[in-house]
Amino acid sequence: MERDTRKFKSVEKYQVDNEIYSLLPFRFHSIDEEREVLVNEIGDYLLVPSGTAASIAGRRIDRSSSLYRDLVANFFISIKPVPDLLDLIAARYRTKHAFLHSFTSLHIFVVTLRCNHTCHYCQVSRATENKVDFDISYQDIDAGIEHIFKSASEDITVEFQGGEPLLAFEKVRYTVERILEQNEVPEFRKHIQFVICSNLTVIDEQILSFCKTHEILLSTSLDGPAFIHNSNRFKNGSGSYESVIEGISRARSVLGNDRVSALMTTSTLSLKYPKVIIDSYLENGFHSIFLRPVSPYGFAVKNKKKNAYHTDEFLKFYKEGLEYILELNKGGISIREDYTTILLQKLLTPFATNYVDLQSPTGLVSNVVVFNYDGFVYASDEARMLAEIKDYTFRLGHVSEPYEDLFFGKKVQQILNAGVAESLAGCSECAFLAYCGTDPVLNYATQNDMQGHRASSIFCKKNMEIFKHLFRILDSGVPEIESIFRSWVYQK
Amino acid sequence: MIDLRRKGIATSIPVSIVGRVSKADSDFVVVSSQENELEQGFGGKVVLTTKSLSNFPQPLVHSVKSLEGITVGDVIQILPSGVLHVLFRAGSLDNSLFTTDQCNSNCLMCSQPPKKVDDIEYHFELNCSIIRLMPATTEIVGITGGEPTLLGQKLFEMFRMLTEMHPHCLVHILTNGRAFAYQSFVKQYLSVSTENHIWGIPIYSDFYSDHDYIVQAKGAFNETIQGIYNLARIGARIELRIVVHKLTVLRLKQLTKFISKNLTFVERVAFMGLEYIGYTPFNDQLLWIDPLDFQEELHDAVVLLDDLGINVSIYNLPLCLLPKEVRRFAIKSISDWKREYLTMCTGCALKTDCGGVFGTSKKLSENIQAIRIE
Amino acid sequence: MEIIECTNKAIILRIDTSLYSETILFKALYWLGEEISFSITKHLEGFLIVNLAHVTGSFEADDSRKLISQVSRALTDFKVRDIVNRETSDIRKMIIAKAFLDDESFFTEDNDLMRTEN
Repeated sequence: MERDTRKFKSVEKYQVDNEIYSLLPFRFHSIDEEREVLVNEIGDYLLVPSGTAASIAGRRIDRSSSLYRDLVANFFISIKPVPDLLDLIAARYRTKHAFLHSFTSLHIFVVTLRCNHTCHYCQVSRATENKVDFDISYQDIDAGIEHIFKSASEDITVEFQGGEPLLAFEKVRYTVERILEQNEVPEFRKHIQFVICSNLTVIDEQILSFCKTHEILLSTSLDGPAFIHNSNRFKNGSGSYESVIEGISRARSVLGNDRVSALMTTSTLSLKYPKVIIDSYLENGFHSIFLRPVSPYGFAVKNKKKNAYHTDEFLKFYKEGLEYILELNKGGISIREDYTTILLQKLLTPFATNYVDLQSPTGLVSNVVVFNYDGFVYASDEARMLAEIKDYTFRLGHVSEPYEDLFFGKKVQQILNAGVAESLAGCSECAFLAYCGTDPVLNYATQNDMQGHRASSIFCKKNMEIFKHLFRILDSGVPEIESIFRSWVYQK
Repeated sequence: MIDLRRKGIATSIPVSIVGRVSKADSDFVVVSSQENELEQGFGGKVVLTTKSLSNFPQPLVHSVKSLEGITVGDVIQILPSGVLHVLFRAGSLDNSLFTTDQCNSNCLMCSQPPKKVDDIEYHFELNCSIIRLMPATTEIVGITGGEPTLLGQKLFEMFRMLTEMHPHCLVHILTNGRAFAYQSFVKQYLSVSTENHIWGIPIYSDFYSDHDYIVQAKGAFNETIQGIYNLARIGARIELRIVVHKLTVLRLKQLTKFISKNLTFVERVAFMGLEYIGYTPFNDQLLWIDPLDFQEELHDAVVLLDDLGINVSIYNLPLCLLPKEVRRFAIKSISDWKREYLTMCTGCALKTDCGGVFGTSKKLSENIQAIRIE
Repeated sequence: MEIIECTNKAIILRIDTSLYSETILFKALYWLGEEISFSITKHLEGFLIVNLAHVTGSFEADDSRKLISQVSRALTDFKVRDIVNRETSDIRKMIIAKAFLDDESFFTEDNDLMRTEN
């Protein structure tokens, strides 16, 4: 009896017969002359020889090849018209879009426009002492807080910006304490993280101990070594490098190293010095750096000589920087590039990311909202900056208006409708759709059209090339690099 | 190895008896049965001894070759033929409740090939006795087969008893998970599920027919994946088990990637060495590969999943056959009663950390050797 | 795709719409960028004529050849995309619909796998 079971069947018996396979939704793009990337509906990718997509569609894939196995196993084709594992695919899709379930998690308070810096890429701040005109009012803070607690999101980040928000520390303190007080009500309790974006030149013991008590994160600006930083960021007419570095070390000594982060902005001068900038981050004890282009908006690039550069130049800077960072990692020095990390999270993991600039539907309003110093509410930080050049397209209304009017009003509808990449020309069939997003504010500011035109968009040009670049790196199949990338993404 | 089956000469044992050891030394063991198999008047006690005794006034198994390893709290089955089965070993973490010899798969490397026998009722009764008799302090018990889900309601009944009598005992069930592809089954299980259940489910490829071929069951891959997914939806704890052999090594990298994308919710992924017994010797040509020859594949798979923050373990492979960097993932997984060390293991610097080899395996890697500390 | 004319002033292409639909053609031309202008006219039954010109009035040395191969490749790619889209639009809708279905429906809805024989 037992012997019966030893009549094993051959492997062919388990393959579905000669039926023609069905296609599952996927997109593709060439990454160089010889290779292309296939990306399926849930963001899984395969790197294959050019022409593979055409072979798949033309049913020319050899069923005994390992490519065929890869295509089936990764949900690019199916042996049945409706795949048996459709539930799993749908669950994966849901996971990738988890950000849709948490309405507006990032709330920004611009507590003051006053600033002790004059940076050439900033057109927002005012070097004035006039508190009445440029600080947010307590009344508007209260109204903003009320909106925060109406958000459906469980996890809330409250970010303080300026100007220099710590010049109005009493407003920051008030907001934090008020929010925490309201968060005591059990049925509305949310998980709240506070962030202060500060140049760290006005911090004192009182401020730091307040930050420590409430586990507030400090985010500062550091553009690189002194000669670069000082040519971008001035305080009282001279470079602010020394005072920022001092502020960072002071803040770290009270809050701990991991509670202080820095952002860099790439000016024209920076373009020539990716390595030097990265080295300066390491020297100052940072283990991550965000190679970030200057905002492409009119106000930021008004100073053409210092800030207007082509996307190509930035891409060169980014690639050189990334290559250097990878070299450092190979040598055992741990440092990560933040933008790459965000993209890799999208490429390598099944999870959603909360990075507002790369979401579809757009993260504007649905993931971020700004309460400006004057009480007006904007769809994003960039949107309020547009308002500083008298363009109020993305002003949702005044904070005193009811929640529903602000967040479900006509304006929001209009923005959100323009912000669905799945239905935009040039995006809907793009291989990188699963990883990318759309930014109606940027489209509007650079192309005077919320929907934008992909072929001439700097957003598209930058991201398209970075995606291709990352896929080329992944395609080179160096295990060491894959392992470095994983260490960034999973941050073990 | 410890022998779980022993034989002596039985007197006054009319039926099969299951009881708990209440006294034990090297020559005498007393087994007390709380059940009704024995006539009253004997105090429900059976004596086991290595001595040769006759004219003993109580049920007895004498002339047993050895009683070594039997301790108070063990659960023993005594057959009229004088055969003794140690069903449960107090203090061991390797006890299993064997449910059936039947299986709806027929894996090429099965260590305990399925049989088409009507044995579910028999094992169920035995298991109910074990559950009643096993120590209240039991930390973990396995449920194996065959395929335990073939028990249907009886499996759920075992879960109910375990939860009631051993509320803190972990229950590790080995299954192919295919039954859970069906929502009616998931729904029924939901009423008895607890956080103490851990489902060990094998997966052998990311490509359906490679997996189906290895388990010799058409449609098994999709059922298993759907089953895992359905279990995950109800919050069940899952351990994926990948037996590494010549066939599974081919797509080990792709399988690992598949897990990293589709099955990230699992509690653990275990890579397992072959137990060279059952079907495996018969399919030697298809399956055998020296573990030394899949070191690279194993290393990459382990590192990838570990980087992702998934718990990874390596079972059933001695440390000397593993790449240095992944030795820390090795678990002493071979059941204590099956575990063996070879003569060359003497003097190995890592012997105490090593899980040894299957005493049951009829073929072992020729590359097993003592590790010397430089 | 047939090349009717290729000079440094202009490129004229004839497209057989039974091979590449008007939609595919438009999608391919969408990506030509700001420096290229194009116009499309109907020609005979089932053919379209595409005129491509550089905004400066003339193409640089090799650029016209490169542009033609770019258009040719884009047409092929968008044709493949068109096939994939047409064949998978239903499945895509099913995935999205299932993805956002309430989780509670899991046990009420009958979506068991079809049984396969052993």
